[in-house]
Amino acid sequence: MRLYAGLFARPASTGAAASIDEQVASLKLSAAEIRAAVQRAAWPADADVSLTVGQRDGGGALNATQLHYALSYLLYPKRIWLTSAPPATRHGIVIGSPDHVSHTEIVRVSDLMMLVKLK
Amino acid sequence: MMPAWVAIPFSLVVLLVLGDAAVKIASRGVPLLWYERGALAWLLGTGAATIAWFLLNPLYRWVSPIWIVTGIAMTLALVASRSRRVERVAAVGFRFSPIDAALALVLLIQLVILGAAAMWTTLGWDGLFNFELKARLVFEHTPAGQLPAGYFGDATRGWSHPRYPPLVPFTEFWIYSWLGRVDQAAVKIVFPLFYYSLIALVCGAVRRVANRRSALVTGIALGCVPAFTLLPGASSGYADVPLAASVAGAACFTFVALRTGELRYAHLAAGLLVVAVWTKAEAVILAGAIGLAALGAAETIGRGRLSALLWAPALTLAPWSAALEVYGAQPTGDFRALTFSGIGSTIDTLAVVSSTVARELILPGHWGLVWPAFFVSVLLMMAARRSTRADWFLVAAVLVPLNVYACVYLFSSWPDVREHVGFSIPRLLVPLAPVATFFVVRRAVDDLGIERVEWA
Repeated sequence: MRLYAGLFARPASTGAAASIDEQVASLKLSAAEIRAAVQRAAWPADADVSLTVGQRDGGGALNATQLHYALSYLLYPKRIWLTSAPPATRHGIVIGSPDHVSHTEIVRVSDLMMLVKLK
Repeated sequence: MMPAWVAIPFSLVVLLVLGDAAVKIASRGVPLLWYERGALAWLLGTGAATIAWFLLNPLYRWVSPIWIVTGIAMTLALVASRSRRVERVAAVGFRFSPIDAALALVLLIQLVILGAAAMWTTLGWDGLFNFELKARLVFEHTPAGQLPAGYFGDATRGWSHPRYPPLVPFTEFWIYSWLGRVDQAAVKIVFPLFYYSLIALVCGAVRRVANRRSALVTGIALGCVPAFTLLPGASSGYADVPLAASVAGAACFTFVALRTGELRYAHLAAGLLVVAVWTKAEAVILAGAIGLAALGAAETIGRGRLSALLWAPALTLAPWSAALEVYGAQPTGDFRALTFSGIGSTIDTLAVVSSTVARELILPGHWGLVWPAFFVSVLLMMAARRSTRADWFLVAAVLVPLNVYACVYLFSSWPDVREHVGFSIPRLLVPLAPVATFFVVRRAVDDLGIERVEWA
């Protein structure tokens, strides 16, 4: 019965990028918008990027693993490091508040997502 | 760029043409039902195209893989059409009783709904981050068609299982190549086709030992098991249903070979096991179990031909395994290395693993009556002392992998083994459940004396 119920339920996203859009929906951005923002930042193609996932302003938790996988998917061949970034990393993606991240430059992509140049 | 309504059917037809040629070559004239032939064409087509795509990777600097694989398909089809033909089963006609017609209609509705649901929903977690990710990397790589070598050793993407065999990602890449763009909705069309193949092969196997009604009821019953339809089923984009289709087909054709002594069916089974090992990593265990069980159940005279069940998958997978080592593919990190000291510390987890596996087999809403019916059928067969070597082959094809899986979990590197087992065992059971279902039907048919068809 769940199959038949699922058939008539409205999917969270539709279209050619529906599956990856669903994974980044918590950022209130589409996959194409994220890719375009990082492209505009002109980071090296195979850059090491540190990912910091905090909380939403309201305090709700974000799924760090889900966002790590989704951003790794979207930004290939950039290497996205969630837990331990290599020492040479100069680029960062901050989800949530950037207060705990030492940075020199910040580009706000949305209320939740920022691209930063790390100190 | 072709419109989607032209590109997608065309891409599927090329795979089916290639597969049909492979069926003609592998079947060597043994009789097949029309739906078995369709299922085999799809499975062997995707398998042959995947292997051809992988082996011819260096050529993609100059020629697109779609033209190379299409050229191979057309050439093989031409060769096969001149030298081989598939025998049709004369004993099975299209005259349906009202009850059978109603059952066929229910099955058809079920298949249509499954197809629509698969197209309507998005890819599941692994469907996206394990399989479709690779399809997209291959599609966006320059030159298109090559898996980027750097991906295999990328420590930040080890979670995407770089060591997994590429059949599902390649099939998705194939669709993207013909479409000329990434489309995560359009690509889902391939998963219902794997599901239809699974149903067709199991129904065909039942049709060989029983009447049409039993085959239709079996097909409908399989469609009521959530693991085949929802997560990790055909609507999720996971590789478990594609694996189940080839493994169930291999087990069923091996059963026919053992039961009838017609060892040409073993060639089809070997072909399906080749497809299986290119689909998912655990297929190595499944293929090993089916091959060894078949050799154990066979009369001495048939063992030479049945050995293809072991060497064909091993031989064809060797280039992929070699490439993984050359490129330093990242291991998944789900298991610890096998050491003597490790064995001692894992004995305690045996009870945890056994109880979690046993619980999954009877968990309401997961498998229905498949597993209780399987174990009851085994006990009844043993009690009745009326069994054939082919029956014992089916039992071994299910129980050997099940026990191997339980042993493998003893080396889990997860902090909570129960969580690891609970997370992955439902998926590992997907390829075993259709074989178990076929065994139950086969034994019920024998015990109840339902009409048997001895044409196989």
